[in-house]
Amino acid sequence: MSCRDCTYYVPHALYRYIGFCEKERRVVIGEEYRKCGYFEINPDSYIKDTIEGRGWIYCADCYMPIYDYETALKHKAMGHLLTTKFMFDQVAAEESPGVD
Amino acid sequence: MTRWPLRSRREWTELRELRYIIGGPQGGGLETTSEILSWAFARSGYGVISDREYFSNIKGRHSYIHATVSGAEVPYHLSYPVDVIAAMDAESVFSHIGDIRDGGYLIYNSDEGQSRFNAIPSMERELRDRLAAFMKAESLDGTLASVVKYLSDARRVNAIGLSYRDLLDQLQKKESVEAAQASRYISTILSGAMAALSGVSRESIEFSMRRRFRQDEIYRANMTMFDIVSSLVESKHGSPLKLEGSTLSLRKMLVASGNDTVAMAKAVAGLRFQSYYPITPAADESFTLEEYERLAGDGPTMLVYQLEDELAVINAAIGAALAGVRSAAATSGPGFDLMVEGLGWAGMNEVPVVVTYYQRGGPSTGQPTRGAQSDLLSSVFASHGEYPRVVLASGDHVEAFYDTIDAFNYAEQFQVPVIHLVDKFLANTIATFPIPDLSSVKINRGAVIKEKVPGYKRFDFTYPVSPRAPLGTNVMWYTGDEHDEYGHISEDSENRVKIMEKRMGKLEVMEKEIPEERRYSYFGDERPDLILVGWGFVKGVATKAVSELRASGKKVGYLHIRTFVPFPSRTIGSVAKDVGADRLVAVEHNYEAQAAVLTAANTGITIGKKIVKFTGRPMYANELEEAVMRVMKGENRVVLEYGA
Repeated sequence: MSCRDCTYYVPHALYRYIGFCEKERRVVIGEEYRKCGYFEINPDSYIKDTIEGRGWIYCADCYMPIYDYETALKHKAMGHLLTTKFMFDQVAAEESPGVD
Repeated sequence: MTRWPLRSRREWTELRELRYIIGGPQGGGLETTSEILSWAFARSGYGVISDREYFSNIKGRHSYIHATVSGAEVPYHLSYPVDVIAAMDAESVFSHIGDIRDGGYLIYNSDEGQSRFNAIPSMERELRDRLAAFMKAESLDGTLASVVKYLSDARRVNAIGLSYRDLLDQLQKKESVEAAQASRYISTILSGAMAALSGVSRESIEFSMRRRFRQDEIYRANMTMFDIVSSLVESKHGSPLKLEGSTLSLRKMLVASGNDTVAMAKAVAGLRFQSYYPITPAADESFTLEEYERLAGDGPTMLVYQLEDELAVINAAIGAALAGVRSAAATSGPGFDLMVEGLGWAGMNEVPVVVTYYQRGGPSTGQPTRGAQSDLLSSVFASHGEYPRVVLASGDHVEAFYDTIDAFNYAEQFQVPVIHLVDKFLANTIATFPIPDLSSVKINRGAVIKEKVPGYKRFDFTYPVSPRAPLGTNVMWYTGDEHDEYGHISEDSENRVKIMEKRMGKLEVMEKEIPEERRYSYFGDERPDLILVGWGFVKGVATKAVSELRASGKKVGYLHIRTFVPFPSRTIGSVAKDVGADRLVAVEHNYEAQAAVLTAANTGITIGKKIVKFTGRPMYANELEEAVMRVMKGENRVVLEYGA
């Protein structure tokens, strides 16, 4: 178990090895488990509830949204991080072309 | 994926030129790394050119910076192989395996050793297929670790694996890290490693960081990260890529992108109105101009106006020009297409409006973030009917600066629309160049009437260029229909002949007033065996290739076209007569060699040999040299393809 398995882990959209801990309010390394005392795993119903409630869940490893439960389960089985949250990024706007 | 031989001319004790690639996900900090390093090298007295290659998906896809640094010349070319690849992610290593020279340096994230090329979601299928074939041929298992081992063993590449995770961890123990700025620290890992390898001073980096990061906390944290990484890399590897002392005699240099250079020049030219609709690769120019809106401090210096589409953009720019101010629109292919009807209106009404036209890959949406020179014919022939215009094309940052000013002068001197072509390669490339000599800049506003003139004829037949009066000073009429001297609609045959001859007579005036030597430049031998004929960003790579080929005993030259309307017909005619048309080679970033088409149209001379590239990536000196050799051996058409 590592930070990226925790319900309070918010992944970075581009750099998969870092994220943000909502409890500690700081950048953490996804692969580590720091025995912080806040660690909590999403309930088993998380994926199903999210897809039913929001209509989608995002695979942070495949950079793609998933709209159905079965596909989401396949990604979960491969150890992918499924989420609806991303680290706030002030940098991307300055680094990206603003137009097409 | 090509494996390049070790460059034999490189003497490591006297490193004259450094080439590097910095790769990573779009939006992940590449721009920052590029700026920090470019400013730092320039601060140390070196010339830099730094091209940005990026996907059009805005965020996440593989992008990279490709740069040349030199202390012997101000570089205007890019070339392969590179000395260093600095990778923010595994995809960058996979994408550039073939670009690094034997014995070069690879900076990568050692935490990603087990990343597999075929599990990277952002990678295009075609590249994945090519990599699969490569992995099979080299018996690699597809992981980053296997590629690094291959590069070390087979190519003698010095692999510098850094745990980006650990470095971030170390930073967090020393500084408060702003989570929303996390990408910054990754980009500083690469700046730190690059600076250590190339021996860039801490002072130069400090200067660049201070300039880039205005917030103290961000600046301090990034300097801390820089110190952590540079001391780690320097202690293990030293500074093997330290350039020899710069011999450039420039006391001060500008470091700017093509977009920013054009924006600066517009401010110098006295621009008062610019309209735009955001489009790549033109928008950055307008964004910079927005920062100049209050240059003078008190009141507004200029108005930069974003409109709902390009139809409105050109019409607003025309309106401002009619009101008497220097006015421009900036756009690229799809936007220009929408402007074409308005452009014809400007031609009909003799409006001095400037369109800065940034070329990207077309047709349609095409390759929005990739470069091209495929809009030359479109700009020369845009809009139905016949009307005079001036078409300029810039080859480098210095030309872009002066051409921008000339564009406004010509627009007002001849009262015609001026199209200033800039290609994406130039627009998005950061380069060092001498500070323009403003004392040589002349502003020519042409014939203007500011007082009330009884019976004023806006389109007086007396001379092709009739004095223009700004709206509000005199009574005048403007219409898209054919009109008489006052501007009133007229379909009378005699009037039609007279006003067409007045308008089209400007072509003759421009032919006389715009000097032939302003329309082209030439580099190379006086009586060459081969002359490359090109335009736009080809200039830098062609002059470099010519210089390298001449150094190896070949007699070659490069004829650079800088003005397409009016065309340098006399010069090309006399060159073709002297050396023979069969010794001319068109070198262009489009499929057809459009400048060769215009050469034939203007002079009757057919340029039969062509070196073209239309992948959206710039031409590189190494591939152009090789292509010239192939033409010398008898090939008539060479298509260049190199570049990730």
